[in-house]
Amino acid sequence: MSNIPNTPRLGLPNLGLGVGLRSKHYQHLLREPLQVDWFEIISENYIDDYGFSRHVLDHVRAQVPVVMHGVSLSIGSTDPLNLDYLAKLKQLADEIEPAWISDHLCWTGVLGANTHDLLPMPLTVKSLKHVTERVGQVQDMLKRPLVLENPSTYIEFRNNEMAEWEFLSQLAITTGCGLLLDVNNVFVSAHNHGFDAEQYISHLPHHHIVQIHLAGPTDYGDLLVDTHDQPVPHQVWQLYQLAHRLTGGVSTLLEWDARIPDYPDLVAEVFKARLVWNGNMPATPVKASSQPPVAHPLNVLAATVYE
Amino acid sequence: MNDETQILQCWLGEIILAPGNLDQKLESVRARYQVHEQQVVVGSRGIPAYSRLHVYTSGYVARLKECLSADFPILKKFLGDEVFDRFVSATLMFSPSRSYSLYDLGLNFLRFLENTRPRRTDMSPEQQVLLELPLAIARVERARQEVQRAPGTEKIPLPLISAADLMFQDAGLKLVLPASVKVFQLNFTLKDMLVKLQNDQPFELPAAQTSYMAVVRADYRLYLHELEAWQFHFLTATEHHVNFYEAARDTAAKVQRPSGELLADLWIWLSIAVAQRLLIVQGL
Ligand SMILES: [Fe+2]
Repeated sequence: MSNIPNTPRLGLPNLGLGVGLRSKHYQHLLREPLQVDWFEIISENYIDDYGFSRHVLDHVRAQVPVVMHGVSLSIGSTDPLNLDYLAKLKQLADEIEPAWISDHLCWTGVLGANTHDLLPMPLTVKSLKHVTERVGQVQDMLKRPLVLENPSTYIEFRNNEMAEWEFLSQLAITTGCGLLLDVNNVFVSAHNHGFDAEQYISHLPHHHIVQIHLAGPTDYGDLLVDTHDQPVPHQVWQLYQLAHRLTGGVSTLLEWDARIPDYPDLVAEVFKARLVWNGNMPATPVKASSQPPVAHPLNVLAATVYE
Repeated sequence: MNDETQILQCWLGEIILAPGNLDQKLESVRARYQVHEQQVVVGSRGIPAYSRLHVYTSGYVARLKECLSADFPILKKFLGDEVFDRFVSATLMFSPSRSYSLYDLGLNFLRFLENTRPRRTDMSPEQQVLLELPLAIARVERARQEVQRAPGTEKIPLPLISAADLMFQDAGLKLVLPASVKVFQLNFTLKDMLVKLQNDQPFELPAAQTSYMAVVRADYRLYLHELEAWQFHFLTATEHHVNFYEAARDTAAKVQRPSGELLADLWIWLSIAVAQRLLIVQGL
């Protein structure tokens, strides 16, 4: 399927400014106004869950749009697609009617094992063909365009034949899939591999970008790591400003998964995007740490205590 | 199939999942693939493959430890961080995740504890309790998660019933054990210790004695209820007999009590059990 759109965002709406739905804020969200325009959920945290999490999700969904963001599709794996997972994803989508469904350009495991990490793809012509076929299958199953995010990476394979932006661009143009541009991940990977972040963003097919992720990484000396536990630093806001200009404005979401602030502080952080639209850059520096790095902390649902 | 991609994925997957520290992992994978990691991974900006791979290998263990710590917080307090971490590492080594859902990893952990628990017969009852406690705590904590996620009773209106409705209505009245209830038979009393562990209070090891407990979700809150033997057997019986009298007859036989006496106890307790969301009444 070839699909070269000339409408922005593949024709999908600009949802405005949103945050991730996290269990830490459940009680607050049930009592107080949501404040943000939309929410993103980690799909796996809501699949097969009919308890309090779902109750809060339904409460939120009744008021604003929700996007389903997954971490287990493993679109790049050489294992067969997990049809059971896709069926569950489809079921959740049928129930909550998300604005779209996204995952990552990555693989999470091979030979049946799951590392629960977003592992980097070998960027070759052959692997591009492999991912292209699978994106087509997933889109047929989900009956909607899949939206794929650029991950943070710490290694590049010597056999890579193209840049990541080239891989993503060809994938998007060939399959008609959407792109979730994580400007923090571009910043992290550009630093780790020594490429030009602005060039990466400039080269993407901007009509395919339907969403942007913002987050704060951690500086572990040599490498930047995508920790999702910090405010958004100055450099990431700069890349956001560039992406905002090139896309004409798309749904923007702040990710924060560890050391999560109170809800009002989280909302204040994503609202800084409005300042950036007007050319006012927050001066936040990148946080440095000497602890062992932990990438992509999972948002583990907090244990509930017995009454 | 995409051979080159598959080999690279197997190579990185093995580095992440192999036992030991990064040096040990790399040594075994170098031998197996006859390739040095520097030949596979670019060392741009002067940062060697070793430091780069370290982000993936350390992140893997830390993340899954964090996940299981959140799933089994009371067990972690009971065992202490060090012993708990050892069980987690062993689970990841012998029973790594094969599911898209991290929820299933908790089950791998529980199965690992079940399969490796000491089975000895030459011990005092006190020693036996001590050996059985970790698994019992883990089972209750797993049940807590299942109960937390189950389709619950929140959307079912609480019926205004009297015990007389339950007892004297004809066979049309049905009792159902909701998916948001899990019942346990244990070789010791556990509730007091669990609550004290949860609240970081000093606790005593429980004495050996048969006890019964329910983990239940009501109005999105979790409760632990201690049960009498007949209450446990009655709730269990409702899994198989939806009819009240059949469940009661089954229970009377199990606890070896005259049915009339048991019916009198049920008469008092049933409306409480329904209010506690231990049972759903249908057909009123
Ligand atoms: Fe992201």
